[in-house]
Amino acid sequence: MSGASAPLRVLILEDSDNDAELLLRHLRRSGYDLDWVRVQTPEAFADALGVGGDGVSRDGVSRDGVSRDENKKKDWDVILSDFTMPRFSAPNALAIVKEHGIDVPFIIISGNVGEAAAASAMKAGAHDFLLKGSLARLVSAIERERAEARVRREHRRAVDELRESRARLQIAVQARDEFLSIASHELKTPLTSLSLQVESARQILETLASASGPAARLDAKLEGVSRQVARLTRLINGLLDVTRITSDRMPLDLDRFDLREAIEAVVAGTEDDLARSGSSLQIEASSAAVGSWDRLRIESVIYSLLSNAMKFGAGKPIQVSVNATPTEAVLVVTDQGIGIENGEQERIFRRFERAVPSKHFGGLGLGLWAARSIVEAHGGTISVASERGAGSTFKVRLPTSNGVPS
Amino acid sequence: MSAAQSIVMVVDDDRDIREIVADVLGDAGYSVITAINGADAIELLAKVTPSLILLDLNMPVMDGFEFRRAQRGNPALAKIPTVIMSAVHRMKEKVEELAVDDTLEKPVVLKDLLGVVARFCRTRDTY
Repeated sequence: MSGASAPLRVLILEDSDNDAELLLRHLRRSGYDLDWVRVQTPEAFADALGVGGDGVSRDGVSRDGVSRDENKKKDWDVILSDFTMPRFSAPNALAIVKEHGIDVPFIIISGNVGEAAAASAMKAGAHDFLLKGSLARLVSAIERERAEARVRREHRRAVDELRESRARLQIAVQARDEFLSIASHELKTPLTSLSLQVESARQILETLASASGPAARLDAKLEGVSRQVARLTRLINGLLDVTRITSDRMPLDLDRFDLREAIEAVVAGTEDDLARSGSSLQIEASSAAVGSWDRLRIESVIYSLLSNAMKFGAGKPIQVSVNATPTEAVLVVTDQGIGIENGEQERIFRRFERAVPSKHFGGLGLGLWAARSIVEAHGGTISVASERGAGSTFKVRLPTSNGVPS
Repeated sequence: MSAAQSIVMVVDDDRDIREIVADVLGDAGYSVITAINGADAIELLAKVTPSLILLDLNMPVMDGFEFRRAQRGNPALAKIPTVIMSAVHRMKEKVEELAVDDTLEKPVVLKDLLGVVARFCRTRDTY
């Protein structure tokens, strides 16, 4: 409140010269440097708030040395208003404030107008109500309301920033999904040619009927190409699934099959990865686990879990088990690798998240997120139990009959 | 026995797809004719009546959607079995209105391609 701080910007609504002068004197005596404007009409009030239209009357504006242009759109610290004036009133002023969503502390300083009027003014948005002639409380009321207005302003700014950054993020995600969708479409056409070429070449080789020598070597090479084509296909389909999941559209193509068949199919396609990982794989699945699921998607869930176990399994044994009740099939994949810290265990199921830096481990960071989305689309759950350095156990529960519309 | 041998028409703007599909279907005992877009296909259909049309969707000049509408509007062509073979996103929803006989989603594997074609066609070895 010393002269060193910025002046207090006060908008005064008062018809009496005397009362206005008393008010200003009180504030100056309290140590405020003042930057003030006094108004007596709705037009002048709106103008002072920077919400008046062109050509409004500026009657009643009196200033202490500040030009009118500067006056416009001023950020007032406080509005001090008489209750009734010949051409204006505090309730009218409050209506204007409310209409324009202006958040400036509004303190009524009035003669005795009765409790009912005071109460209704407070209800209309006034922050305090003081009686002329007892201004002792004025300074503390102004300071309290300024502090609260500051808090409200900061809160609004934080909310605005959050909203903006969310909007930016949404646009970015949308652009990326659009890109993925186009890219995967573009990739599928050459992949079709490639896949058919390789398969056709292998068929031709077969007719050569030579089990050894160059034909056999060529066939082994083509088998390798064929595996890589299958891997590319999986990757591209995975990318496309990202966009499908994001747009909340994952129509399931339901089919009745044994979970063990799906595991077999995935394991057959990952033999190379397994050999590279140095881990051994043990499958415990003694009884059938039949249900209605989307075969390709469930295979991609199994693939994600298996390839994670190989990637992070530190070359130690991996166990896969399947158990089933009439209503539910449970798939468990356990490794004894690097494990996941407690705080990371929820995060790994989110999109593009990984618990380890990508330069040490490959992959797009989408596998578990896609797996969770797929499992949940089937009405199931996926969870992890893990300890740093002691491996991870992923458990997928799938209802055997699917109430989910396909 | 060429009279019994089925003709498959492949409509695709991608040259490699046309060639390899013609190749593998040829190896499997079918006759194949190819067209590079819907308009080209309609021109060919004035001269040849295949047992099956394998139709791509995204093509310049006349795409698969337009072709299918034109085909269905022509009584001479409407009855020819037609299978969409495309990489288009959410294909099944998009082709619902086209009332095609089946769909093959790219990337297509040989087994699926031969399986679909065998349902509509006979090879020269069938009889």
